[in-house]
Amino acid sequence: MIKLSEIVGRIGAFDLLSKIEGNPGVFDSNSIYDVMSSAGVEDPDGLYNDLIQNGIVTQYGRYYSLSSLGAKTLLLLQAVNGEDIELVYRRLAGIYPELRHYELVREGMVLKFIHDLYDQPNFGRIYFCSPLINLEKKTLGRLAQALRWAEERFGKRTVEVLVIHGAFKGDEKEDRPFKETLNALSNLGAEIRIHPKYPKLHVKLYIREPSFSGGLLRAVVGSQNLTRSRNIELGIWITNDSEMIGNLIREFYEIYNTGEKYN
Amino acid sequence: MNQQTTVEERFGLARSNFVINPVSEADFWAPRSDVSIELLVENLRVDLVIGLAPKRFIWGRYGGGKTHTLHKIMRELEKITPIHPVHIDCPDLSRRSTFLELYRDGIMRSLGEDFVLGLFDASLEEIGYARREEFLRKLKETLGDEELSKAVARLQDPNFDRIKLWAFISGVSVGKSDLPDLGQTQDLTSAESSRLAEMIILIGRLTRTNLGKTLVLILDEMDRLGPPSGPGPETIMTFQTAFRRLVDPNQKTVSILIGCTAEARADFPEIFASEAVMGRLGRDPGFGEIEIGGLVDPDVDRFIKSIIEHFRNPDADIASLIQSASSGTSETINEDFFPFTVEAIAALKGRLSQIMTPREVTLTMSRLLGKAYLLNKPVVTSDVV
Repeated sequence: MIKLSEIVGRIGAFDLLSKIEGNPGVFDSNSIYDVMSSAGVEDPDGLYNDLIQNGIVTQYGRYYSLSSLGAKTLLLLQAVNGEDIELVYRRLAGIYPELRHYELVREGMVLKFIHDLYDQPNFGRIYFCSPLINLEKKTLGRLAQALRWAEERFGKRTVEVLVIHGAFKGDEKEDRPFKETLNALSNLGAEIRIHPKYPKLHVKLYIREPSFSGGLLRAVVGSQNLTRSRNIELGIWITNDSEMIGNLIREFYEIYNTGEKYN
Repeated sequence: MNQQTTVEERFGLARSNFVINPVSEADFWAPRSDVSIELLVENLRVDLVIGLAPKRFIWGRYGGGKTHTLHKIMRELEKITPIHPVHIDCPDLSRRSTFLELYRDGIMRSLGEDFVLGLFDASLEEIGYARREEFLRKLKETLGDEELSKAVARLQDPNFDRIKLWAFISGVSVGKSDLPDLGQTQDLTSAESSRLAEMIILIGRLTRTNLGKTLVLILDEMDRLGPPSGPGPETIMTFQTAFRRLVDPNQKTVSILIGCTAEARADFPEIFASEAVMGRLGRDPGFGEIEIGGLVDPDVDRFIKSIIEHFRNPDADIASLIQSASSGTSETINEDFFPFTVEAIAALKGRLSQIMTPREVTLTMSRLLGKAYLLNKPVVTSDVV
């Protein structure tokens, strides 16, 4: 089976794709051969067939244009050929939304984070830092399932879950819902630390790290506790910015190491 | 006589016929010499006290009182120990039917999705949250079945479509695309009947541990397992395999009460003629096999009296009704048999077949009542019969 790189690596292929991308709705079956000829393509019929059959170029009525695969391929070729990486990356993020580094999130950022774990359970480590942690049964159920799927991929290895919770009030009734969630998380294998009373923990930070087989690097920094919220909340959703998230993980550990083990 | 009075009003009854509902009126029991309910109950106690789940095979002619006896036993069992009774009428089968059809269309349908999945929910609640390996280990310990654990584990996921698990457990065919979601490579449609029997036993075990009740399956009309409509020689073994497991004395979690119409032992469906099944039920009188014969003569009078007493309206002024009826006939009327005269009862008995069944008696009584009513009579006399 022919590889994509072998198709677009042929002489004239890059120029052809650039011309089609720059002039949508211009080239028909006659003029496309003219472009190939001027680009120095040695086997126009062969290249034409490969581009069409592999879905890089598509035909709309009379005219040809790049498919989304073709557009992505061209961007990567541009990067290889020396174009500004940041510019290429930004344009790729337009096609792959999940490549966007930063996004504003509002109320529901916490649920969104947990749903994200559930929908894409290829993670190796999760970090939860929140003064208050109280998850509903449904949300805990999703988290538990996400962990099971993640561990299933790992075989014998386990997924790490690190949790920092704020100091308890000392009132049994008030602290109970938080302790119930922490106990459930502990049963799921989480390593939990309780932050000292002073200085008061106020950070809300949630991070997922990929597994050894890949996955997303993601973090949420915001105003929402790991609880259901009726407040107006705002946060930043960070994806794949390894430098920034690496810094956040370091901050997490600094806080984590000051805490006392729970249970 | 005013025909505007109802049948009930004319004859001092609470209902317009004498037809007993064997399920809803199981508490009613007319004494009969061939079936000692006291002995049956005593034998139930014996089984329970030694840790066995009672299994009984009740057979007899059509209309003889098998279903009523089954439900009476169940009611008595309920007084001794908490039970979860489930009545199952044998579904329509064909010569190619296997135990799967009885399992799916009879037993699981009657148990119901809410009940069965509810048991699994309760078990999961008990286990709580745990790491995958430990969670599955605990679930396997509870269910005793590793493959089933993988499927049941999905119930903890709030996004999981529960109907998939119900389809799997209940023996319905599951689409290939749904099997991986249940952690399975095949559904139960190709499972051995012994595995299906184990599913039933598991449900019994969970009923005991989660609800503190004994699951009682009342499998009625099991004569359908015999010819002409029952399973053929190629598939009969699947039933035998399953029943061997279900009625085994070592099976202590599900009580099985079987009802089967047969005139004689030679008429039993092949499954129940086999020593493999009946031997496990046991042949101790009143324990394994219970024959419900016809009503013999002294029993018929007692039966009729009990029926009349059961259906009599407690608020009716029977004495007045008898007095009023007496003026119109020379036949003997007493409180025991009113709204029938003594002579009418004798004539009724003469009309019935040699071996009388409760159904035959109650139907005939009901029809005579109707006839007397339409003839404007205050009592059923021998000429009505």
